[in-house]
Amino acid sequence: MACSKDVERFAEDLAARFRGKILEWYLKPLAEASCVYFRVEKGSLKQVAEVLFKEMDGKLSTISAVEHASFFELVYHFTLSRQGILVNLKVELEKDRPEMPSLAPLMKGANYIEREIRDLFGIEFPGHPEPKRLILPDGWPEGKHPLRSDYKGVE
Amino acid sequence: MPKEGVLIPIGPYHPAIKEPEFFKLIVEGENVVDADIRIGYNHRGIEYLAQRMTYHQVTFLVERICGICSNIHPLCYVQAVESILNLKPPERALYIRSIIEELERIHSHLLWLGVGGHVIGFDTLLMWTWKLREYVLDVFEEITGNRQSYAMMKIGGVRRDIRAEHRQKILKVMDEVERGVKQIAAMLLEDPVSRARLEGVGVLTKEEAGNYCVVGPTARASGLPIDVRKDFPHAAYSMLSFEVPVRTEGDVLAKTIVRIEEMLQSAEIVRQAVDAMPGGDIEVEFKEMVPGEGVGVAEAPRGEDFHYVVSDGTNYPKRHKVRAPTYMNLPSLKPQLIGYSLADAPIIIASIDPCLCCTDRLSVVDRREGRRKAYSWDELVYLSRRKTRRR
Amino acid sequence: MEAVLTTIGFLTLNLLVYPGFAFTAAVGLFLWWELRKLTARFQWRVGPPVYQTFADLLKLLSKESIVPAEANRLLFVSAPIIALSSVCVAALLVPVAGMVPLNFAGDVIVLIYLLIMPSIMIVLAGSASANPFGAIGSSREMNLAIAYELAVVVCLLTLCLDAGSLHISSIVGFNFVRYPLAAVALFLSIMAKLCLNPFEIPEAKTEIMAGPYTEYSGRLLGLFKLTYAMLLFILSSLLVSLFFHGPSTGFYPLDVLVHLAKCMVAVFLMAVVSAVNPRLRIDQALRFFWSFVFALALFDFVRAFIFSQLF
Repeated sequence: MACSKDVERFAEDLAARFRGKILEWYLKPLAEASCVYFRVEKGSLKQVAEVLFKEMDGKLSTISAVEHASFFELVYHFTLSRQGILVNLKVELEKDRPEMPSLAPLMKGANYIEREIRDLFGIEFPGHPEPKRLILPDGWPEGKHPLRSDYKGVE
Repeated sequence: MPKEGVLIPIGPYHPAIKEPEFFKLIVEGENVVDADIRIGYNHRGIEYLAQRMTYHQVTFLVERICGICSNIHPLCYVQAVESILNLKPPERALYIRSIIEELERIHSHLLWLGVGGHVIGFDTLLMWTWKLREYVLDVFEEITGNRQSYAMMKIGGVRRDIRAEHRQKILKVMDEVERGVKQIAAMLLEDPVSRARLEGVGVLTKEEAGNYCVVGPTARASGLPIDVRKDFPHAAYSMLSFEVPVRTEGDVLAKTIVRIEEMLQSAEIVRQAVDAMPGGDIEVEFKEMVPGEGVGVAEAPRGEDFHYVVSDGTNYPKRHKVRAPTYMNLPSLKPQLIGYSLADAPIIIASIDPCLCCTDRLSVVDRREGRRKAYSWDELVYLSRRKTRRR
Repeated sequence: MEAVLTTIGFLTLNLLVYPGFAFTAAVGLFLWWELRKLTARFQWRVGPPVYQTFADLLKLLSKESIVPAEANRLLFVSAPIIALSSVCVAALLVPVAGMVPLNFAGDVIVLIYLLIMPSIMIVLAGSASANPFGAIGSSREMNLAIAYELAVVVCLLTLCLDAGSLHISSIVGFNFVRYPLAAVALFLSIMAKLCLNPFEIPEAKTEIMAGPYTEYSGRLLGLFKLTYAMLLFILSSLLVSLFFHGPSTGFYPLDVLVHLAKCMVAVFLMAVVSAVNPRLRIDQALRFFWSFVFALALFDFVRAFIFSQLF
């Protein structure tokens, strides 16, 4: 458990370390724990994730994909159990042909998560070790992604 | 993919796993040399549905993600929404949440122990643990009115109070559970044949556990001391004292011992919480939704459960992401299975306590007509009703 | 000529009614029920009513059997029939309360062969059914059979050596006093032969569905179930006759009842052992049989050999 002072210091330190790559950060209360959000520049996400995973013993909880009107957003949720901080890294992807370098070579835990997002949102993850379908059946038509807002069912 | 050897399919339907998933095991003689895991056989599009329901309705929707850990998903979800609203539930509600969560952990671990016993052909253990589990379900029935899917969580608190007359019953059942668990643990752990089946089987090293980002008892049996109740205290856990059992062996036996010790700890937590519970309200009202985003985490019986809700200020969640604990644990089966015997495969698969309805959250493939169709909710309701009428 | 016809008539009666098919099947199904009921009671369950095993069998026998398209049809169909008939013949050679209908020199050897037949038929059935689970179940059964059959043979030969005869009627007696280790070895081998926990390895349902029986259904499955019910009686009867026979009351029907009561005790012990143990892995079971069980049997065999040389 970390008090909000510690979390602020942690966030400032991380923001200072990746100056120019972390665009902004803000805190959000979560029951009694703390939750901090970073908006990260797309190209540097892998570096930040590596620091969280390798140096701070962070654990990737999951990746959430959110569809906004003009862009896709990926939120990488890391839990730093030792420090008691929930870290969320947000990146924005353009709407047509969204792509994000895969985290799976860095940590095997990202493998399924990225495959699910690829199935449901159609976001590609170049560098993924096994870019196969996970949730959708093998015969599902290409280019139909059930959680996208333009999804109208398949014929 | 097949190397030399025979492909043994475990699933999508198999007596050892209670829910549909598909393990392709490549075996040479009796040895597993490769494994491939497919999920998605139980996908119900919960996230899709959640974005088309109001905030209060979603509480009941996510309760139906899973029948075993049916409390943990609503708990995570309401915590995420409370985080958006910056809402603090009353203390009594927090205690009730902890009590329900711990009772659920006890019944879920008892269920797991029984299934584990069944998988290694120890049906006596299955029958004994499931009988013990009935007492816990009786408590649930008395407190919440339901034996499963308790409908206790609500944004801003809980829906039902634990009344004074329940206290005695809860304490009595906790004593019963503690005695029963100790008895069963002695029977299982001191029996050389059971030990021979569990010890040194399906080892997940600490490095692999970290790399696969596993959670819950699976991680704690591999020497990772992570527990959401300690690391990110929610409900009333910061006010309760308990220990987190950790083992370093990483084999099936370690996972069994971790879960057995957790049950004893849970019984202790419930006793503490029932005694320390303050009086007062059990919920706070909230007027309207605000835009924002929130995360909810809680320690499910199988590990960290994770919900992420994005609100745009309307009555419907803009995005609701659910990540069940088994989702993280399932891929780690691959290193656990390879190198062991086919006879060990079912107990290894069972050892992470896979909960697949949690993991898979609609697509219907009509094989007869050879074309695929995704049904809308109304069409599904219609089909379901038509089927009922036919019966 | 008439004498020969009378003998053949009696033998047919023996084979079909007592102590052959009808009697063995009825008692076997009853003992099977006892096994199920006791297991249920140990597990805090109610358990089935006494007619359940008969009802199960009748249901199976009245249903259609499906032969998989890729299976070896001849082998698939004949395996349960051969298994059942060899068990029927074996029933004539196992003494019930000291009486054996068929008596000839070397009948112990014939009995050993007849008792191996069901195991061989299971192996053939599993491999004939063209199913990976069946194949794995067969290979497990084969490995296990080699391990326990040797112990059975050594146990029987111990008593033969002691009696100096290969007549089964001459080795009947309360031999438990002199050869307790052989009795234990035979008991454990019988449990493996009957596929009871902890040796329920060939048909481990949570690992390989039903092993060799995966593709079996209806009548053919019913025949296998009946074979196993009869085997349950024959094997416990063999254990009782060889190690716990006597004392005789002088009235044969009463002796038979005493014999059946002893068989029920043997089944009770099997139920206890199978209820308190999980299933072993095949390699663990093989190690158990080759080292422990075989050593028990061999120890008594060596003792019998020394006795026979001394006296």
